[in-house]
Amino acid sequence: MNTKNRDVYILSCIAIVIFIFYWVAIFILAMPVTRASEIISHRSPFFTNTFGVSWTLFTPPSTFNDRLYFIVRNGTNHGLADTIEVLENIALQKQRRAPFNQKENVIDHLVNNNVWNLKKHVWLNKKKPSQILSSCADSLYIASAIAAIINKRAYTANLNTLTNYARMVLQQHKIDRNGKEIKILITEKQIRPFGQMDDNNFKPTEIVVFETPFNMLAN
Amino acid sequence: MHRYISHYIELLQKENYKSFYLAFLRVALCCWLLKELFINWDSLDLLYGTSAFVEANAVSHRNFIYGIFTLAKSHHGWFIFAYTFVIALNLLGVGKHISATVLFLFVCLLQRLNMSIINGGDILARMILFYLIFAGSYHHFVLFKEKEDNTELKKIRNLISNFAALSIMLQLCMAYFSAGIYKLIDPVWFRGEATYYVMSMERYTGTGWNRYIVHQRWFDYIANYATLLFELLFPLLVWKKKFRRPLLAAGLLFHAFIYVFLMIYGFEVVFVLTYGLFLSNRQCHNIFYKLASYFRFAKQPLSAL
Repeated sequence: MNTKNRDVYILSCIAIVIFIFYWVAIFILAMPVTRASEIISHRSPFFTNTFGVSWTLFTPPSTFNDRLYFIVRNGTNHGLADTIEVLENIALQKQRRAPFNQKENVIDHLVNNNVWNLKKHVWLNKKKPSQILSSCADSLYIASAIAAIINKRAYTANLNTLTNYARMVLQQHKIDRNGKEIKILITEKQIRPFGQMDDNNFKPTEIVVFETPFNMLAN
Repeated sequence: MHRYISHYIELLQKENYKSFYLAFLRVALCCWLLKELFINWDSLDLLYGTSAFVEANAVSHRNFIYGIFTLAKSHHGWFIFAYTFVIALNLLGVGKHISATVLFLFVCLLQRLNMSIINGGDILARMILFYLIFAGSYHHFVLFKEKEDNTELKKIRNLISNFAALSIMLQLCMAYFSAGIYKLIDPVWFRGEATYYVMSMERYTGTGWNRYIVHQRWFDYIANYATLLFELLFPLLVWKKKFRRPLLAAGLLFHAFIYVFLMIYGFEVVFVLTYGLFLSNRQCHNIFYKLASYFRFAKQPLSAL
């Protein structure tokens, strides 16, 4: 083997070693959490964030549809409140315009992602509401969980995004925002269980998973 | 052992086995990125600007990356312009590996600017762009022809390019296999009820037919277990020649179904685009030449391009 060929051979071996190590790491990170994947994530968060993708693709599937309510009332005399649900409407708009629904798709992703993140912040340390047997969620837990994260940047960013979106929705519904208070409510509405798909008497439960107190809606 | 390794090294150095489809993939992915930009054109400010209702949840304020985020957000028009320019360069094969690297960095930053809109297709596209940095995808569909390398350099380039092509194929297999394993240990998927729930989610109700279809139990079971089987078997059997065509056809059906009934669009296109890598250079040439002559825009065999 001459010098040039030897250099090519060594470089090739190095490439093979890098390739094998890379794919072993990727395989470990892609599989359900193991001790090895925890070590890699801890030692190299940049590598994990950039290349370590878990492809769950609808696992576990949701057994409910989310609902996002904006409840608006007068700040002084309270009186009757306007309640607007947005997620069902976004989904309907998206379906109606398919496959040319990119605008609706963008709104759907932006709003749902913030809803999902808020739920995650609140329910992170407790069983998910869909796993709770009781039909109503622990509102005391929601309040205390919100109190614990109220100053966290990620939480306020998600909440402010939904409040900003509420302003847009109120404008679309031609509701005056001056002197109004708003409450944001997120619920999970049960999808008819597989075993009861033909049961005409089935009534879906809807449980509260996130709730803010009424806050003044600044312009 | 040494002879065994040497044999495989020689084999990998001999030829860039996927040169044609890698070039096609580079062009197709750039077109896809341009298409994504185009269909989101009206929403670009909403997605990446500062005036929209979305409040950014960036990393630490002292972080260097935070500075880049802020800069890109506040000048998102210029950022998008530069991004489009880099896509065009990569599409035409100008700047080769350098433009491919810059494009990958642009895509990473763009995806970080707004994580809400990212789906599996975007992630796979990002990974493919990373592998394409190392791929020899400049033998076809380029503005300027590549100069012939000296033999040693060519050998190394061929080896790295073959690894890049293999990585794209492995990435696709990993996506399916990982999804299959997660599904296998999930009780809802295991019981055969998952497609019922997925298709009942309002966000993913692509047609008025969904409600009717999911109420057919036989359909739910078949779709559920067929998905599981496909995701688990594709990565294992696609490497065997006799299973390849049926599996690729099943994959096309699988993604077409998701495209129509679950309204997930970009995702499906990126996954299906990688399928061509499982065909040989000759097969890709033949398919492209047949299509080209059908549409009468190529009069000579593509090997001459």
